[in-house]
Amino acid sequence: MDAERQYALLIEPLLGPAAGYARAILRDRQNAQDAVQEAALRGLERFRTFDTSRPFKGWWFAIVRNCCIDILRRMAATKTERLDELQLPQAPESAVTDWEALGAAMAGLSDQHREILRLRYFADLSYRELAEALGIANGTVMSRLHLARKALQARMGEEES
Amino acid sequence: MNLIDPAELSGFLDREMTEERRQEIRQLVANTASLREELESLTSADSRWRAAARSAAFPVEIRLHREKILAISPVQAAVLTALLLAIRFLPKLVSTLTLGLALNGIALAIVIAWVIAMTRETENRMSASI
Repeated sequence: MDAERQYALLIEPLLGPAAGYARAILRDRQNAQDAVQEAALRGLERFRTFDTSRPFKGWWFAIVRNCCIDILRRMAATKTERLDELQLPQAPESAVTDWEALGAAMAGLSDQHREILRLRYFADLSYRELAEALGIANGTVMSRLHLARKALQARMGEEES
Repeated sequence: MNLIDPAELSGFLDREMTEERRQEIRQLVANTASLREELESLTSADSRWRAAARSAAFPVEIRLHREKILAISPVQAAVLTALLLAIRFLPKLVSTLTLGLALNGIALAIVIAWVIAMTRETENRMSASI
């Protein structure tokens, strides 16, 4: 089986969760789709040098995350260039869905907590995959995730009250 | 071990520990009301968040080939540029310089065009990498 075919088979079941994960970061369906598309291409370009002893899912979601960051940077640059547009009233948003409320609550957390929670819930990564995606030790994952959960619980409790 | 690190409740919830340690924690939780409450609270929040996060996913169709930015190959670009330069400058060169010099000029133009085309190709590849 050639590398491209093998890669396609590996990412196929991850595309839906990747779209959800990218959507949680970017808050926009089209941008999320673009991020997943770009991640699929970048992943393929790097797949030939991928160390198969590492968890593929964690590795690939790290690429998705980088693609989302690139899109956020581009969006920030575009906004800076179009200051006039920023002053325009925002279009009314549709009803806030569960994932949007969850994403908004996560957005109020520290970077470390937000990242690990997004990867755990939206991307459904295991502890080993989380360690790979975040570049942290396996032993750090459990404690960081626990603290992040407590922080999110507190945050959502505040919002509900 | 009779003590429990609070973070282990997350490990227990996520089934990310050995079965032996899970069993120990199960017993500790059964015997300690505060731990039981904490675990119940975590479990409930976890299932709500999981369901919410799942609803963000949507089907995506992807392609595994980049669209080519250059419509023509680098070789074609080089030859075309050299021809255009030759058409533009050859008549003048022939009248004033030797044909050999003109051919050298054409060769130089081909090399320059080739370098330009290769540079563009490299930039395309670089923008494709992380």
